[in-house]
Amino acid sequence: MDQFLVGFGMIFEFQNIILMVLGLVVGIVIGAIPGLNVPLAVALALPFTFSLPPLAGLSMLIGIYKGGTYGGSISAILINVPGTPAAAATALDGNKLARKGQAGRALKLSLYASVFGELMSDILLIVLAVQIAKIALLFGPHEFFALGIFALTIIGLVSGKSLVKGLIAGAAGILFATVGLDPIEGEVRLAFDVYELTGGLKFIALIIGAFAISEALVQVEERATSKATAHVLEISKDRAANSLSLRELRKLLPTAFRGAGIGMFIGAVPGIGAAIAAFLSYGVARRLSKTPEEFGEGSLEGVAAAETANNGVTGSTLIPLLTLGIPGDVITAIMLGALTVHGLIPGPTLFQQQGDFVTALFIGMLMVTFLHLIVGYLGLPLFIRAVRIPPGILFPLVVALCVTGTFVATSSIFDVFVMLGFGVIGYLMVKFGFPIPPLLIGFILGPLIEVSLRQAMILSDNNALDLFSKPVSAAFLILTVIVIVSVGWQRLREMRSP
Amino acid sequence: MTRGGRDTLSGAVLLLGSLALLVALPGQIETLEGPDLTPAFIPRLMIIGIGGLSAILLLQGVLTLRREDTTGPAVELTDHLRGLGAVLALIAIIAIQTALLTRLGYLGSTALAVGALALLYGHRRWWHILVLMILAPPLIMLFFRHLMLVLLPPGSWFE
Repeated sequence: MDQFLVGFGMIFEFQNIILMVLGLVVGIVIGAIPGLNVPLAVALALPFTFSLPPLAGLSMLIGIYKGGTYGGSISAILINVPGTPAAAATALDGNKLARKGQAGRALKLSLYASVFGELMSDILLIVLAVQIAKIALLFGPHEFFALGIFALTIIGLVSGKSLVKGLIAGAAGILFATVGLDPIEGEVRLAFDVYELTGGLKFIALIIGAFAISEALVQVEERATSKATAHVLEISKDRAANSLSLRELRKLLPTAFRGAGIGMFIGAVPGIGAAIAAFLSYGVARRLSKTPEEFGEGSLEGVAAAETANNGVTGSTLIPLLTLGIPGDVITAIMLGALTVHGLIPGPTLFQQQGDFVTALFIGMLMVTFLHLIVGYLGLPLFIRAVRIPPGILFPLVVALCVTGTFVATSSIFDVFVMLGFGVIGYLMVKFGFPIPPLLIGFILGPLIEVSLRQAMILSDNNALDLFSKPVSAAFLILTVIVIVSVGWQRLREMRSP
Repeated sequence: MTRGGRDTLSGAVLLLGSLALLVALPGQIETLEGPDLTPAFIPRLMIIGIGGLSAILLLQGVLTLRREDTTGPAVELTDHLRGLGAVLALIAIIAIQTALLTRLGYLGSTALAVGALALLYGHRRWWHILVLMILAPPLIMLFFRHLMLVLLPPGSWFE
């Protein structure tokens, strides 16, 4: 109880609440605008958090994450262009409802469903995280090495259509992380006689370049070649078309609980993500529905299923990050960067040494969910306007903020050029079908994997078989091999089939 | 470009790149060989891994190319070139803005970049662009100076 009161006192400060609201507004606006995405918003906000206290900075990032995940549904409903990949399932029925003059109902349901999914996910995080952290305290270098390899493999496999490309991206991320000083012996590696590279490639340059600049490059190419413009549907002034009755909401509760459950489970597993959760929930809801023929034609159940699941990942996705120090997706990878800059190392020791901070963070997650409902409801007219911002106004600001943010975070012109370089790499990865998330997560997990492996080898006198003598590390390594072989076999069969 | 073409090209480039890095690696990491894993271990392992996977990708690409139906609708070359031109222009604008950041100063370099980018992204209302060029850089600068307590470069040409 004492820890709860201390945590409450830490998070319940005016600055934190303002930043939560600001994060939610920025997240919803960015999520609503097609062409921008949540990782871009979180990456752009990251440099701003460096000069804030850790709780304040994280509060803003969590606000952007939750707001952005919901915001994608606004453009999905109004223009049938999902603002985020996870909102693609919402577009199936949300836009149909809007075409029937019920855009207001769809938008409100999307908000309520998102907040419900977030709340369930936050509760799971709070209940499970402490228990998992206690188990993780028993992990040593062998276990962390095996876990890092497993997490990276899963992310590499599920992040894109190609197993090989996902693994190449992950390996490239690890390789980029080795540039600079060796973490154990201090030797300079892969600097190619460039003085600035002795400090390594900066995390912020990679994040902003690979996610924001690459997106700007993709968008400028599309705008130069595409002539289509999206038509934004109007919201009806008829109150009945914009309201949801309690009876309707009660009928949707089983769908909401199911969707939240799917989102929570998917969120806790590294690499899978909100989009898969949303589509899985939508598919399950259609199968179990009494009116499956309405799906795809404007079904409220369809919108509820998709939105509870896609926001249901937001809390549980922090479980592997906070308890094991392993980011499960791009957003948590960026949050890992935010924590590290403030000297907070996620993992089991965070719960031991910074229990008050963790408690404050959990309470903060619940506060953001509560504020999401208020901000989402009151700010809806503003967010709808955001969908209409011309790209010619938006993208120059985004690029200006990318350059500014990177320069502010690193105080180095060289690192701004590195950011541009990663932007070009990210653009080429998109054009050639390579997934970007494994690159980032490989970059973050690379040092953990390398240090853990070298420590494990020192402890076991360079006996690699010792990795298999410890049950947890053996289990993760065997699982890794099984996953690679089974996915590889499946892909081979797909290639061979007519 | 077809999927087979993309895979073949990317596989070939990555394979050549990883072979080049493997050759260059000993000169890039000075380390004493010893019983423990050296600083060169992980970079070498990753380069070999990328090389091996690239070879698989190259093979996949070649096999896919042989199976692919290349008689689909032709894509306009002018569209391709227009898109590529826009991408190169954006890269150039960002590079020039960065190069001028400490010389012309934050305000000047960003105003020019913002204006050029607005045109590049297809915005044609000149007074919108002018307002954006005049307002955006100082607002961002004030935000960083007063709220984040970070100074942005004034420009060596004006010192």
